[in-house]
Amino acid sequence: MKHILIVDSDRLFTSTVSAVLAKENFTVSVARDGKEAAAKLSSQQFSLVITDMLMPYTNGLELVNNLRKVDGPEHTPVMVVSSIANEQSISSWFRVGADAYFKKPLDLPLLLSGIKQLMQHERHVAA
Amino acid sequence: MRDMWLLNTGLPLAVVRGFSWGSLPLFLKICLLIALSAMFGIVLIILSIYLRRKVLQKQERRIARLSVKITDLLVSSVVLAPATTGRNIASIDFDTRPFFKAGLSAKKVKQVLVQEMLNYRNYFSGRIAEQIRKLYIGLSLHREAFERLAQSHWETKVNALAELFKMDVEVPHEQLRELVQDKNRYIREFARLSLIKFSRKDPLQVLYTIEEPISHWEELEIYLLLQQHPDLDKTSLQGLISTAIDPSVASLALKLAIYYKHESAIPQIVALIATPDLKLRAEAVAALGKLKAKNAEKYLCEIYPEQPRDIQLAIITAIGQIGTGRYQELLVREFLNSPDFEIKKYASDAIIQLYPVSKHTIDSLMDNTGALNKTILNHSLDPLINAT
Repeated sequence: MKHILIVDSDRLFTSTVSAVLAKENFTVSVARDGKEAAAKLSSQQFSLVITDMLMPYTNGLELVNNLRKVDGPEHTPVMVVSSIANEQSISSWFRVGADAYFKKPLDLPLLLSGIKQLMQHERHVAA
Repeated sequence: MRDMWLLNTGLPLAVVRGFSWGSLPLFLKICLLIALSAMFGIVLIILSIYLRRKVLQKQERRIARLSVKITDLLVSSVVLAPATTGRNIASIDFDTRPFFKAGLSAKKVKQVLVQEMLNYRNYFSGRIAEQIRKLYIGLSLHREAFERLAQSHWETKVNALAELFKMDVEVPHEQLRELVQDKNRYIREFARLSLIKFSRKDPLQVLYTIEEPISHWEELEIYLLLQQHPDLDKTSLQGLISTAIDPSVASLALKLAIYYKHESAIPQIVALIATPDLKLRAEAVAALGKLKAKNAEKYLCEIYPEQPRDIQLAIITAIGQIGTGRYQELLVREFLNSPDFEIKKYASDAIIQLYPVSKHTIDSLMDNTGALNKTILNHSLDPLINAT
């Protein structure tokens, strides 16, 4: 079963996305901030990380950057979900190694298809 | 016996033995009474603050528990309901019973539910947002908002207006036009936003009637609203990019022109550089950069020497963004010779932004420049430093 880590400080967002992903047979873990996410990433293997930009302690950009520094050949895909969507911030996300970007407010079916596509693509790359 | 007791208290025996309220002078009696009532008052205040905090904490805990319960209810009834993946959202009928079972008749529950619904619409779009709106109307929560809108207290009115606005419930335009003239600024702002949102033909028309500077918050809200109008009237937008319009509105029009990559507005933007408002002038220059106005690049270089520092910084950035590389020598000159560190830094960023056109320039600068200039260039090359 695919294990997804959602990193966001908002309870409503994490519980809703978790419920939708759980219904699609994904295992979901939640981290409320960058620090908690880093701890989970160092102790567990995830098939995908969905992260927000603005969070306490370590922001999303630093989290992805740190993840890419220690990331092995398996390359954990990262999907950014943020309400900040200017050209500069999006290009920064991709420069530090994010794989996909979604703007809040989110269309859940679209997010779900994005997650599936990303995982499929990663499987092809790994194969 | 009494003397023995007094001795044990440690009080000077002579003082206590001689004490009698009646023998005290009047001013001392008054002072003692004031001191005692002040002490009593302080104790009362501390006690009331403590109790109020306790009540608030209890309320917060209750609301937090209620929010979790309502979120779960919304997830199960709306998000995970089979209808959310259905084809026709207009045909979905909600079972509102679970919401009434949750105690919807209570005012607090209703408030938390509306707040959660508003949060949902902030985070999710598409079908979920539409379903939440349908649920809001299905539970007749919009009727209560309309009732609150008719009340006289400004805060109640603003909250009702904001709620209806965020829930996409249209308020009659006549009522909104009256509210646009209200003496309260917040009411005017929300009424303008509602008019823009629900004027599908020409949402920009409201902006021509604004006679006061719009706040940053209102500017952002209007910007976000108008991003959803891909068929925005270009001529109407161009008319707002003018020195005759309030600078705050003209600034908003610039941002919209950038968003819609409205290149035919470039002549109006160039004309706006003549504005005495320096902030607006810097924004006009920035807009030319973002629109990659190649024809305006020469003009920007010509006016550069006579401009104030902030406009010079905007011009340097714009030249980097326009990206032709035809005016690299201005950037290199400022990077190498300017005594102003900020100008050096901006010039360095612009040179890096011109890559790959500026590849030769960057290599040459890296080989032939001092340690400080190399550090500045390396900073410009670091994606984490430039990230915002």
